[in-house]
Amino acid sequence: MKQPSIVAPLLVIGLGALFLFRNLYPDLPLLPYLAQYWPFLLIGWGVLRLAELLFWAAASKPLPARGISAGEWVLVLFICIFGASLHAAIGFSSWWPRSGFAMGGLDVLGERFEYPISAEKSCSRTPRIVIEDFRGSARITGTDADQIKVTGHEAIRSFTEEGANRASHDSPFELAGDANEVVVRTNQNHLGYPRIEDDLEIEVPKGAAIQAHGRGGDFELTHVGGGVTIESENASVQLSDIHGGARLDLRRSNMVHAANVEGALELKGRGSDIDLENVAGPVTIEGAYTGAMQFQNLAGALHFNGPQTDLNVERIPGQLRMVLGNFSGTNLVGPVHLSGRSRDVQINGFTNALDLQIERGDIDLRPGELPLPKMDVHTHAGDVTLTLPPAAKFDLNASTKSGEIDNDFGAPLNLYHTHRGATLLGSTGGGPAVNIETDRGRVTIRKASEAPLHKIEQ
Amino acid sequence: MNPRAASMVGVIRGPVMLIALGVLLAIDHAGRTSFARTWPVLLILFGALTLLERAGDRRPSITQKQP
Repeated sequence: MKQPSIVAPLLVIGLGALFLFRNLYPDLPLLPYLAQYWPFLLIGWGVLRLAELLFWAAASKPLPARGISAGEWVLVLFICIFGASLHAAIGFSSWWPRSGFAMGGLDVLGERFEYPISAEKSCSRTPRIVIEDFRGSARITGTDADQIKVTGHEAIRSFTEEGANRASHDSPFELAGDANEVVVRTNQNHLGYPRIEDDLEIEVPKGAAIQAHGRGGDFELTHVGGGVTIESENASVQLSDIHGGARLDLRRSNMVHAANVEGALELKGRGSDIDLENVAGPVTIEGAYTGAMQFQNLAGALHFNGPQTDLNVERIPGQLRMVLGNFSGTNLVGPVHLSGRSRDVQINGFTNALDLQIERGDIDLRPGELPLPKMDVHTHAGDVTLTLPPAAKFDLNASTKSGEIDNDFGAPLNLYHTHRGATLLGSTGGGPAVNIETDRGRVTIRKASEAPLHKIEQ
Repeated sequence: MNPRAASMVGVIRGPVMLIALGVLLAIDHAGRTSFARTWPVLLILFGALTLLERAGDRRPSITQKQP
């Protein structure tokens, strides 16, 4: 009798786990991961089947004529077509640097050869510095000198020294352009050559505006007076003490860190962590970011537009943190608008107005000083806890379709029981409308202890 | 190689080919070496495994002919 295989049920379990993960962490863009790592499904399938066959052979059980049947090969073909299409659609390409696993930091192709780079060119006090088609890491620092000075090295990976020498000769470093626009040209983009990376220290006049286009690598900018524009297929960016605005368009990034930016900050793309601190202008973020996002002391408005999350905050004198299924904010100036799928939300101190729409997640709100802000809070599934100062004036309409309501404020608020849920209505003597609604969960309206609430900085 | 081992090679050829296909595609997607360059490895592997299977099959048939 033919042995039933365990591979098919395992694949079904894997598929189920994938969908469950997708539901638990909806903010995590699974498609890019799937597009990148789907071949491991084939490897896993092969390994499991191989182990199973060897086990049957060792146990002297009858073996099938073929390890993988014709029907299974057809399925493999479909998986390959689907995976390759997804890979192409998501926009990966095989020559993309650093697009895969790091292999423990070892690069497997050839040996590394390094060539020193040194160049300088005088320019105006406020030039535009254009970095063309760059791969590697660049540290750009503003200085008082009226010149651009570049030091560093070019790293070439090649199997032979002659090959590396030839590649280095054919990729000369140049500073082109005139005093008002200096072009930093690494000439790395020669087809047929092994990977060339430059590691550069670039000193520019303080008033310089930087415009960089990279294919992979890191940018670190300090004391730059003009605007900063970085476009890269894959880059981590660190900005500090930027006196103008910054626009980052990164198709992939491990980390974007900005501190002390005086202008507007615009971030677009896909990546992992974002950490912004002391930004004076408005911050706009558009894209899918899967890591930890932290915002601290933003004097302008924050607009975050992700695949699953929409967030607008007028100002953040305190801090705001988003990590996977968790959102926590302290000391926010509203109106605050947050809509998302699956998140637990804690906000401690907010003003003006709050509009919160969450699919799933527990919500814990502690508004700041009186008077209370207007609140509209809705979750499909989750508990809502609202902690208010004892003297708070508000007009409450809280309801749960399935669950209970706890009320610390007593008589001014009336509790009505419905079929499986409850509604709490009433006013504590005028004040803003506070609407709370959950389809499934407990609502708690709590009086804060006498301990002072978080002070809102105006 | 005995017939049992030869048939074993035939049986595991499928999974081994599948693993190799997966590895080559993973290397391609990691940006190391394009699948367009490495696919002949699959042909070589398939040929080698088939050869191994045939080698195992042949020997018993030779021994059977001997009186």
